[in-house]
Amino acid sequence: MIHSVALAGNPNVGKSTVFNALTGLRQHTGNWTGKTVDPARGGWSLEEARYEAVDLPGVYSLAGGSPEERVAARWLEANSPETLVVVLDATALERSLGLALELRAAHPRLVICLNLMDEAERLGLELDTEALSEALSAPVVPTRADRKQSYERLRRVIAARAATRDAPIPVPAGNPILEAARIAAAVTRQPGRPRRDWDRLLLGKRSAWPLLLALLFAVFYLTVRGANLPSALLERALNRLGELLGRRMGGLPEGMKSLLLDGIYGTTARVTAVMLPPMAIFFPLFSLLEDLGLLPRAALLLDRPFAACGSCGRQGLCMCMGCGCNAVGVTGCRIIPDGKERLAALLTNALTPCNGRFPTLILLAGLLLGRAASPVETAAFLTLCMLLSAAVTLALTALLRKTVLRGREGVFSLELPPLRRPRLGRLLVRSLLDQTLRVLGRALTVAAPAGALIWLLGRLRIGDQALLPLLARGLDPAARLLGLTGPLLLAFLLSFPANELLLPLALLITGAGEPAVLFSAHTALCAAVFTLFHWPCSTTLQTVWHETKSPKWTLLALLLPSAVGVLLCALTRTLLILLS
Amino acid sequence: MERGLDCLRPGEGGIVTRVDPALADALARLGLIPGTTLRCLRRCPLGDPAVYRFRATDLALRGRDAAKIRVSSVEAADAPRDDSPGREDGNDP
Repeated sequence: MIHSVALAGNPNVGKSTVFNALTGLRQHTGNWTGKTVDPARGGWSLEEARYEAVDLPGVYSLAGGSPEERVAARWLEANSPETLVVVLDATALERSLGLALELRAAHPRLVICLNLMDEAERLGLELDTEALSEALSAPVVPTRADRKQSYERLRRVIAARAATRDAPIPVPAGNPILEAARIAAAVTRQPGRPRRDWDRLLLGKRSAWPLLLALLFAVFYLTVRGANLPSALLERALNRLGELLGRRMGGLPEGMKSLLLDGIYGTTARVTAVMLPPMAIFFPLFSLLEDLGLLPRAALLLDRPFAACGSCGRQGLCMCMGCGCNAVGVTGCRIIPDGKERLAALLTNALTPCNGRFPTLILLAGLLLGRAASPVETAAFLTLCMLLSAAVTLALTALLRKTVLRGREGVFSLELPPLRRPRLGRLLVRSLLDQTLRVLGRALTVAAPAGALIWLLGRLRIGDQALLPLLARGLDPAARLLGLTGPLLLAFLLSFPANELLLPLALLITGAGEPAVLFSAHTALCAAVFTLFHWPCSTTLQTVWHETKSPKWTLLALLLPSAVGVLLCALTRTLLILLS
Repeated sequence: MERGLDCLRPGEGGIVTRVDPALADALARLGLIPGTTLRCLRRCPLGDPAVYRFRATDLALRGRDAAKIRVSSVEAADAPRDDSPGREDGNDP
């Protein structure tokens, strides 16, 4: 026996958490509006019966025209699930009730999940669940993230609801907003204490901007500081493993052995060593900010400068996501409702340095200083890079909005969810297992074949000349104009599949032992600029195509950041020549 | 006295009397309809947007959009009921 279940609820009521608890899935949840756009699927078994559940996007109503609302409304219409679980926020009952009342009119077989009861308890809020159940003529199950049994109960109530054969009578909705206010007032036994007003600090006149900057710096500092040692250890371990593998492959022909070891294994190992540790620190940190609810605050602060450029603060959020991975950032642009603003954000996302570019930037920080940079200095350099990237993003967004993406400014409204206490265990598991391993896996599946390809390129000869140095020499005049060298430009071009490949590639092309010898002071600065601003990686470009389905915009997403990089590098070089 | 929502100073409350049709649908979904009591919590450091609180929701709106919402003043005594968590007297120092 298979029963269909759907979960509906406002954004930010912990719906995805409930869904994960029910199904045992690890769907990414975030403390901001519009995180889930596509319905997620999962299921569970209880007493011989199977329950197939769908997590609908968070919506306030089904009548509106936002993408989430259309997805939810269309899904409900097409599938009419046997049981509809409406997740309510116990700490904001009045406003989550509106949707429950609206849903009750069309899909009478409801189960009400009164979520965030732990938070309600902390605030001293008391609700009469029986009165609520009566008012909605549906069973009410209080749930709390810190008690697994509460979800067990929810499963049983869903089972009981699915088993009743009588169809409940739909209740026509009056004005759901007024009705919600009436019910909320009636079932509140003891109003909760007000939450602590952190926004006084987070959005305060004098504190907001310094705090935002400090936060950015702190994230980079912890990433750099934490990644140093594991990176070195990992590199040594992987080298040792390489040697071991080499001895095992004694029987293979020399060329085959070299392809496997130097080409495939070597590239993959180097990418892993430089990429894994920063990522394993950055992603959990980012998830922490997300869980706390700090990201919408950042978006709000950034709205003014973005509005001046014809965009909105949500673009700042997309840039934050792009900081982890530009492909994620591009997908994240879905949170921008206005079509043209969304396109502008999507086209400029690659201007935000992603995690794959951090290793290069960290190396360059040291080279620019002329000595080993301390974590504080490196973090300061990365913060500076972010500010520069933000400035260029703003300028380019303004340009786009004045030319190809001209149009009226959309309405901007942003909800500020209450700051929530993050659950560290779940957060770590989620960001490490889900995000880090996924991004790493993707980088490695690119790195292995790329390693083989690079190895082959390294062997190819034209006449008596090796191909790669020949190509590098051919690119040299163009590269000099950008303040780079031929091998570096070739490495940038060949790292199109993944930015992480840049340093391993440059080493391979030049045959140098360590990356530091590839750069002079001038080329290091230009390389830093070019690392920040050049074409998006193939995955990002593919995502742009997926999101826009337009050859024109995909081409522009490729050309725009490239043009910016070429221009800024040429400018930097000219300035350097004039200064010296 | 009726005026635009953007004229509300931090800490000041009002009752919504009219919402421009261009915004009405989007805001109604969040529970902001004529008759709703709300309060301006604060303005962002750069002066815009401002944060408004109603029905236990904190919503940020730009001045440009807020101007399309009309509010009538409330006496201090009728200011938003303190009946749900999240409502408190926080405003800009």
